[in-house]
Amino acid sequence: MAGHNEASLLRLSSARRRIDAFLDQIDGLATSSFPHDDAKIALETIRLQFVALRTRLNMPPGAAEALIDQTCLHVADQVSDYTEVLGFILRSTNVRNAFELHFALKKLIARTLGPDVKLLISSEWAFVPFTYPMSIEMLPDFVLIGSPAPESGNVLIAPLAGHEIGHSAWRKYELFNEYSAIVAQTVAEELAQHPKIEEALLHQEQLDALGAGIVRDRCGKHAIHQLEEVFCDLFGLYLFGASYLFAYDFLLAPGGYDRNLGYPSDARRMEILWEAAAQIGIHADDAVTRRWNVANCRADARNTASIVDAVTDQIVPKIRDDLFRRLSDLDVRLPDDETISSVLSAFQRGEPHARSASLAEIISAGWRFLRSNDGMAAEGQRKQYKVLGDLMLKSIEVAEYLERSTTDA
Amino acid sequence: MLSVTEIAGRLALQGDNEDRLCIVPRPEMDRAEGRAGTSIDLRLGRWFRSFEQSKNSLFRLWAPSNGAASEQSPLRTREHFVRFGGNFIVHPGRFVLGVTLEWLTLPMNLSGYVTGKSSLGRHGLVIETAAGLHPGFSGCLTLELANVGEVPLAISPGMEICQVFLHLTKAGSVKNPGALSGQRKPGLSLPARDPVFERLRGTNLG
Repeated sequence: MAGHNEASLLRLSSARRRIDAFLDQIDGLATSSFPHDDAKIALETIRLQFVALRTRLNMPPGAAEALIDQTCLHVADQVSDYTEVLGFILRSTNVRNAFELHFALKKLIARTLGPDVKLLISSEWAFVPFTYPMSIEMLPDFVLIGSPAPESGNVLIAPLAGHEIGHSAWRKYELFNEYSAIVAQTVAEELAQHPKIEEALLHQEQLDALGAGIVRDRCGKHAIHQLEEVFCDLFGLYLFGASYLFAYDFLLAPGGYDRNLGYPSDARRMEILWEAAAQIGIHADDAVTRRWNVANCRADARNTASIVDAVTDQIVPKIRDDLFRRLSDLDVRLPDDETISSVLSAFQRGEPHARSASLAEIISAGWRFLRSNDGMAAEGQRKQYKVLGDLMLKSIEVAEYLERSTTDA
Repeated sequence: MLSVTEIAGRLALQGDNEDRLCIVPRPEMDRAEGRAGTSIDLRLGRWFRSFEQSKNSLFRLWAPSNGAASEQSPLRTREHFVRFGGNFIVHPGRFVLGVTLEWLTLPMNLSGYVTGKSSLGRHGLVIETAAGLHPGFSGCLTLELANVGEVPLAISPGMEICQVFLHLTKAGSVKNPGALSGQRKPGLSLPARDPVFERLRGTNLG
């Protein structure tokens, strides 16, 4: 190792040991009981990349210190990033998850994102649905979806996966590029129509007139983020019908949280969903749209919010119509009300549905059953609530069985 | 006892008919009727529950008396999910709970029992024999599977694993358990409380 000083030698050794420990962790995980093969494929893909990364640490004698440091930094970053992914994969094996969902969700993904996309469903120790939307460098064809751990077996909130798949679709369809120009233009128009607000924003940021570009960029960034979230909501609505509205209501009602400018207000999101549902003939009782509290918007964010919200409102119809046309072209089927009624009748008899039904139809029927029984949270209804979950998951499994036993699924 | 043709007739009944038998997914009745027997085969489901070793010296097989807290830790078990196309291995001497793929709902005038399939038993896979099915039962059947042979046995979700026989029960003698009951995973519970047994254990007359 002539040419390497002691620090370089030790640094490279540390990086090697770090990778070795990471690979040991993968080997341990590989012995887990995986419910589906996609997790095994993900692990093996990551393992091969880390083996390759380790060979990059075989520096020739005399390698520059800067190169060594940069490589070691890259290793540290990769181990840090992918440790989170390993944790996600480990939690995907936990039996608290509703494994029966995998086949049906993967079918939806194949239809909307392509046949080679793989799916990992896991759970998170945070009470928010979560996704890596085909954004992991080593796993570009993987959609990772996590639900809150206490609810990971709750099939009623599975429609929220539709929102998370939407984030992958936003990237796959390259919609940032498609909508950036119209967002920038609309922001400029909106600011021009409200010069007092623009002036206040410049003053707030201690910018002169030349700083208007910074204000426009900031508003545009928030608006495109809002539009991605609206797109994902509409994606979930189209895939899951009324059950998306109910799951959304379950997660976020009654609203009134602190306002995040990257999202329309919770109440506005529900209004957008409600209008879109009417457009595509999705019916639900309007109890979900009532009594949404207004989000708390910080005083110093109100001017920005007024511009961004107005921009979002102007572009939402285009986003919605483009998306619905695209999904219709992809032959994504809207939930069928007659089938939902048929599934509901089976649940009312205490039976799973015997014929083929989509995930959306089964979960929509589950929500109808639950809502018609006052939410099933009364003393003595706990067992029935659990049985309802089992009836839904069994119905989903039966649909998979029917498809697999009659085709080469 | 019902013939396969009579079972098919019960399965064909619609909606709220009180004689209706429900098995989901529906068995292939053409195949069953072709055998002209009195049972229909059920398939293996995807959930299993195995038992883990623990530091407990024993496990008592009766429920604690009324109001008393359980003095013993529950048996340590582990659930497993096996996808269609995957295998679960039952090693020699091991015991595992499985479940039927089918969800059964019996009307109040039918009862039945489940037995293993002799073709599997001859290879060492024993399934609890003559497990009773009561009128009004609803849910997937928990199966007690043991390998009494000498080589590991692979079983796979969707394979035919057991058979169910059904017979008529005289009406009016059984209480309807009510709506919504049953489960999709293998269950593990203690027998119901038995007052007579509790009195016997509590009597201190030497």
